[in-house]
Amino acid sequence: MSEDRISDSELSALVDGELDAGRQAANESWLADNSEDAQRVARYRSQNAGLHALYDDVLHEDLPPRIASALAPRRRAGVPAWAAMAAAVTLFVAGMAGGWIVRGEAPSPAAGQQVASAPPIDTQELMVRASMVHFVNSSDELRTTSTGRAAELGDYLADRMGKPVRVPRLDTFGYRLLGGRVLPDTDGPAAQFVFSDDQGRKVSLYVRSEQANGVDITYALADDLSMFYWNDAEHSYALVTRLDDEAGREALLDAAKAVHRQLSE
Amino acid sequence: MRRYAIALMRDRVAADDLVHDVVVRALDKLHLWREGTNMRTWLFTIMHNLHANEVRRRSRMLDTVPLDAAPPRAELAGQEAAVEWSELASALGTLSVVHRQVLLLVGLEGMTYAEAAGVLDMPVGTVMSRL
Repeated sequence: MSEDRISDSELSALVDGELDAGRQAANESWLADNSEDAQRVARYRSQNAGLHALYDDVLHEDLPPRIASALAPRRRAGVPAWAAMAAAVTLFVAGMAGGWIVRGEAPSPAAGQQVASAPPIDTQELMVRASMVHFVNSSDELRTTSTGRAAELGDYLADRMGKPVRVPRLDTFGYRLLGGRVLPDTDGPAAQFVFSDDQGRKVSLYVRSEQANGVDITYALADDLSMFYWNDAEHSYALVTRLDDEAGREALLDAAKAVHRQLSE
Repeated sequence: MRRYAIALMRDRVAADDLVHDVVVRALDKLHLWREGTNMRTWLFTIMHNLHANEVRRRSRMLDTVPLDAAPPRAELAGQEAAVEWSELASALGTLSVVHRQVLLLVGLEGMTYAEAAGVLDMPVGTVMSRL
């Protein structure tokens, strides 16, 4: 490093993760040899840790009833109630901004199903719901299934959804079906299927009733969750997981195509 | 949102009032939120604007903002750390509102300088100078 001393703003930027990799590395090697500046950095970091210590408890509290009732699902034209729930959890829905659309690779689910009066698929609501329930872990709500018993799960879900339910499999992708659950949604119950690989990485499929114009399998990012979504005449689907890299996205796309194929057979 | 509001206003009741108003406003204006943009910063921007209105309104009346209403919550920490954190909490109270906003958005809520600048409607350079 050429400087004799790092400026306050540079140190702040270092603590706040605002520096590019080169400056970050240069500063860190400087700090290794300069205990005074290293102590300043430690002090900044402990301030931030202190802020969390002081205020993070509120994250684990129930919402005050007044706020919860303001957020309660209600049907209003053009306002998906679950988008409002997204507001509550400040979910960052990156949407299609960083996404790409897969065209021509998958059979268009919309073919022959276009209804002139049907609204477009509500991607916002689908993404929010699918990504929120991806984190629902309590296993007592999950109807588990052992290998070869998928049909039982199908019957269980069909019973609660009031219509036949196909159970998709991702075994060829290394993901075992753990089980499924029924969840409340605006237009009747929705289903969620949960899969896991040997390392415990989770993939979930959210299926909600929605009559909308068809979309091809499309990639979207909701916070740090990746998903491929599509729809058919009666349902919209979102296959959700947390991805590490591009290769993972390709694999997820292949899985989405497989699920699409299995459910439309 | 509640975490930030409580830290900012140091008064749980007032903070929950603010969050409630943000929720109502956001639901009302949801059609203005553009898909593909960050919903979190959008919500914080709404909160900032409502808060600024409230501060303006109050300053026209009487200054009744309680400055030490939120007790520090650090039960799990060691005694020494608890003391340090409660000092931090009172130090926060001595900062100007803008300073506190910047510090909390970046240090507590983990926003980038650019995001905080967007929420507070100020240049990024100003955000950096307040840290």
